Amino acid sequence: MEICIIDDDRVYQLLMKRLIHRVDESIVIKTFYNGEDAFNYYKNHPCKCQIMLLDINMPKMDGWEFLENINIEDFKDSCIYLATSSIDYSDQEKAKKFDKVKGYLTKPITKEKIKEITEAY
Amino acid sequence: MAPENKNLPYILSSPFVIFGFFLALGFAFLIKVILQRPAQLQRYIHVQAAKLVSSEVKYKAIFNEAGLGIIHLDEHENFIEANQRFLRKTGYTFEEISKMKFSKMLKIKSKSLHKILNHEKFEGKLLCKDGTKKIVRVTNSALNVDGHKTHILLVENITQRKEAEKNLKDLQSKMQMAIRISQLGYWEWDIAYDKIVWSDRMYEIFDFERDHDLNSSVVLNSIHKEDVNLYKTKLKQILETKKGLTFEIRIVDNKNQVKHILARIECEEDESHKLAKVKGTIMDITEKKQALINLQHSYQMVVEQNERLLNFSYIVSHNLRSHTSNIQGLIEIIREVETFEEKRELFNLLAEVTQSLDESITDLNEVIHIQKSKGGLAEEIALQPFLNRIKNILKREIKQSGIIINENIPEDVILHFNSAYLESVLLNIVSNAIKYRDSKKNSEINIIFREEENYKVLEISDNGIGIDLESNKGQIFGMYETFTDFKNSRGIGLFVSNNQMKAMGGKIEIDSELHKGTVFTLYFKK
Repeated sequence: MEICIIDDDRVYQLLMKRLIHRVDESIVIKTFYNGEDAFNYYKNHPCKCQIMLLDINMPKMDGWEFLENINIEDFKDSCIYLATSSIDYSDQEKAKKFDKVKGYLTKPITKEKIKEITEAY
Repeated sequence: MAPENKNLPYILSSPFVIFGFFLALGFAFLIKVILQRPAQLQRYIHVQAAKLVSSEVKYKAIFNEAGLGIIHLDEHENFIEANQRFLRKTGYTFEEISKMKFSKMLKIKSKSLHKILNHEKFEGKLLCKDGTKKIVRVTNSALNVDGHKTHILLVENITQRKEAEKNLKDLQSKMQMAIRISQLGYWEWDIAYDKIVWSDRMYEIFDFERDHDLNSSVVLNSIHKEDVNLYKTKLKQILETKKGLTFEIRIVDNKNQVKHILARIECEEDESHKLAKVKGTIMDITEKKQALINLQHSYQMVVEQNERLLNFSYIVSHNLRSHTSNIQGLIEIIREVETFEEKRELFNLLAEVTQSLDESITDLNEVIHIQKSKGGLAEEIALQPFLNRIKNILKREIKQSGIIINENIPEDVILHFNSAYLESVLLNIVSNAIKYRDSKKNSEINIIFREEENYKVLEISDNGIGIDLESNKGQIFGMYETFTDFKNSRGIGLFVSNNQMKAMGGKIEIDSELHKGTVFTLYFKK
């Protein structure tokens, strides 16, 4: 299984790597520091990840822009989750408008949550 | 000769005969006249008697049918006579009143009139038979009949007149009260003589002494300079159309206080339809105007505070939360890991996150402080020495980066601005230019000053890495917008700078091209 993390928060990325590996050490983790880097990568590479954790507020290209720009066909085998520290209600409402978004996760993301979404896949 | 002599005595006696004849004639006439005299007198008596009867009838008619009550009293106020009108009005018959004294029928306010017949005129309330009271005015004239003193009294019913008077008084006092309560000033302007009459309130509004000379130019001089044209236009319109108008205008009173006035003007024409008088009311609406202005200020403040609240909730939601969620996550792992190495590594991360949290809180404080002290005190700032101070603060960064700063600023430029804000704005822009320099070029910053119609303009340009404005449109001055991957780009700077410029009535503009450089243009209000 492969999980992709797109987030500009370095500490969060480190945390997630540790938590995910505590759930299942075999999971491959791919990280990007902003939406643009991820977008450029997946333009040229097929997406092999089953789960994508996408942050909303990032420099260069934020989570919304990433969702607007990608071709859904390229991600048909992936579950995209918005993972954000925002508790802004309007963000949650906006997330519902994107069919590609499977769920909205509020940080901090716990081990139990990771178990839940990996098992759901 | 002899026959002539015989006739002589006869002839001589003839004058006596003639005399006698005339004498007899005289006596006859005299007797006739004397005998005629009584008959003539008799005729006169008849005429006089007829006249007397006629005036008696007239008098009776007047007495009875007069529009007034007429009564005839003796000196003890007993009724001798009363006319029909008096009886009708009081409802009594003469038999009834003949047993009464007049003063018993009359209620008089003033106690000094206890002996009413000593007075020529008095007013009182006449008690009628049916219990009603009529206000009457009595005129008393004394009359001597056969050595007895009697009185003819004219009793005039003035109830209606009194009521009308009372109503008029009521109306007047109501109007005066209305004018007083509404604080209306009333004025009249006689055009032909350029004479102006003011009510008391007018003097209060203009703060003039009561003996102040009034004419059209005195009024014109009291009109606020910016409203003089409006006043003239309105006045012209009134004089031409002869129609009333309502408008608002400002005046400057005697104490140099500006007052907002609501003026209502009416026109009065003379018989030949020429405009004779212009008159109207004015109301001091300064307080209402002030309230409106305050309301607008309050509204503006609420809008700003709301904006601030949104910014605050943005920081809390997007920034503080990200740190706290990291801390929560880290603590969860620290609990679970066993090795000391792992724990130490995680504690270092925790320290890093705590540091970031602290920075965010400091930023938040800075933002709130800027907005709280909005409209901070402006002072005269000499630009060139000020820039030197900024360069001195950034001495280390400038030296390390090797950046070159070129200035083209006239020596005597003075800005009217808050010095703390200016320092913050310039530090932010210059340090950004150093931070985001393009290491492949010889980095430089150019600072140029110029003047525009409404603004003094400071242009700060660099040849750094630039910003892709197309994809970052509308976000540049938002809080926590960062455009680079630089670790220490905190995004707070431009948001704060923009707020500081706006707070002082200025603005900030940005022009940038990726890989070419950035130009910040600061506009300082003149």
